[in-house]
Amino acid sequence: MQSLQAEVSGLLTFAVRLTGHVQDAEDLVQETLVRAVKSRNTFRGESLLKTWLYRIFLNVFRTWIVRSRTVLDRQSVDLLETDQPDQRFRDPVDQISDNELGKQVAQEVSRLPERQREVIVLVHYEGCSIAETADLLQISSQNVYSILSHARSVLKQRLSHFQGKPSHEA
Amino acid sequence: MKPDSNEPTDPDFSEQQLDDLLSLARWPAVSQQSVDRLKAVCESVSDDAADVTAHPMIVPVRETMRSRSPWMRLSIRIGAILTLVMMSFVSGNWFAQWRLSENRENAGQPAVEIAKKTEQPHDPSAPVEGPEKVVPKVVPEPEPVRQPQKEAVVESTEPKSMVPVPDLIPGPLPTDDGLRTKREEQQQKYRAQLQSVLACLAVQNEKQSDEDQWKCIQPLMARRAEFEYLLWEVVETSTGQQRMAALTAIGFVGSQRSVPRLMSTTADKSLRVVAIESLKRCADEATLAGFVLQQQDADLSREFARVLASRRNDAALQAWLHLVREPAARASCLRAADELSPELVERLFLLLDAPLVADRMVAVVSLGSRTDQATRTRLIRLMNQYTYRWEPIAALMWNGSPDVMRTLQQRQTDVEHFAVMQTASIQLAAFVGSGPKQRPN
Repeated sequence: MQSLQAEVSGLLTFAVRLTGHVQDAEDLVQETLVRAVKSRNTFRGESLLKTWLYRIFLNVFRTWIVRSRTVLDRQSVDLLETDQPDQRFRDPVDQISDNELGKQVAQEVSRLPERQREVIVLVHYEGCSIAETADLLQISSQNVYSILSHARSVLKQRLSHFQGKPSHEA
Repeated sequence: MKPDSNEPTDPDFSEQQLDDLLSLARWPAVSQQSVDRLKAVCESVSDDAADVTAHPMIVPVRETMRSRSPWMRLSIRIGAILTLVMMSFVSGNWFAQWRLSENRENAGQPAVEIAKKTEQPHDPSAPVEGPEKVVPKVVPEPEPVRQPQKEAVVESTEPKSMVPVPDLIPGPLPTDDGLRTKREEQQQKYRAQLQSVLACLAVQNEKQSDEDQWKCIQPLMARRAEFEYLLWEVVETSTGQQRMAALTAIGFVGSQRSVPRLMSTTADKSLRVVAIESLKRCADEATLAGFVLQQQDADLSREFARVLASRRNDAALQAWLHLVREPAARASCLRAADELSPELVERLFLLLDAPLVADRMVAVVSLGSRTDQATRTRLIRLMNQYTYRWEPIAALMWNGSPDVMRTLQQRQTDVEHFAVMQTASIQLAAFVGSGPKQRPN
């Protein structure tokens, strides 16, 4: 039980990165924990507890995505309208602070298609290797490479208006 | 992590820049309160789960079982064993009595039942009624598949042949002597029953149809093995009509064991016809196929093929496929193709789509050899529906009737159809290369 509790914080961070919202992340993590506790007898110790827990979470996350796809679309449209006005009329150097830039990047990551989002969050932010990611998502390493490449291409296009800013900020 | 990307992106936006940008990503912060709340949830769910597993309906039962004393457990086991022994003894006794009473019923069952006898208790001292009052009524029996199912009523023109046999009187379990006497009585009863059946068969033997013969035989079907043995006794010891009747009865009652003896009986010219008829009835499909293959007499071979074709089971289909593939037996079989049972015809139509070409060809020539209009119409419909399939065309080519040939000639004008017809012709030629070149007439 204590080992499960130890994973809560990391799992919640992972959930926030995938969903982009703390509230949704909390709901999903709660459901994940309930499922994990109820089916803890099925954990045979063949993988790490973290891996097992993340797998359960990913299942919960995918179900949630399917269930609330239309809601998410609507929310993302709202976000674009409110928080992200047309970037053509904004000077990224002048008008976006560091904090805002970070939010924009996070938002772009959380807007990626489901599978790309999972891969890029696991590889870039959770520090998983390609093999670990493949194991967690139960796909091949080649597939992980391919998805990651697509995700980075998409992000390059979407974040192209911030070109030059990161190095300057860094 | 900088995987190679094949997608066209901004060349000035390097992988390093993207990594730097990604490292700047800031998601909403997770508060410690949220983490604590989730930990508390985790704890409470865990407690609930523990409560469920500790439900008194599940766990304490095992614990109380374990806590019982060894003497208690031993006494329970001994009690259970004693109960089992008593139950097996009682059931064995009951079963033995039941079997005995059943044997009595079967043994005492007469070939015919007398209406009055069923109404009144048996009186051995009472005079047996005259045969003119006997109302033959055959006891209904489950009928085998290969026999026609009809109402069980025997109408014999000579009621004198129907000798009613008295029932056995139920009584206490017999001793050894009593048992021997009972057996003798049973044997006598069987013989009397057999005589009545043989008499029924012998009456107008020439005129009797299969159905009539079947009605006569029905009383024997309950104890086929015993009657098969007794019938062979009759064949060996008697002569004339009775012998013929016994041979006929063997066709209905006989098992596969009778086949070799029937085969040897065919050597006797006077019994040959009856023995062959009996063989056709009691031989299984594989034996029939063997007869078709081995018979020197073409007519007899065809007769066996006809019998095989009229069977309806899987074994008949397998035997048929085997025989049609054999060039030596093909002609006999295809001449009997019109006798194919509806079930076999349906399966042959399905075989037009079989994975093995040899099976498809058997279906082609078998269906093509049928002369009925329904099969031809169905083949033509298949040909029109599946224009790219050569099997229906090959069957129609093999059929060769004038109207079918006219249809094929009209079809030949189309180039695509012509190609399919060429294929059909080649397949047909390859299959019949070692057999008859045309449909047997």
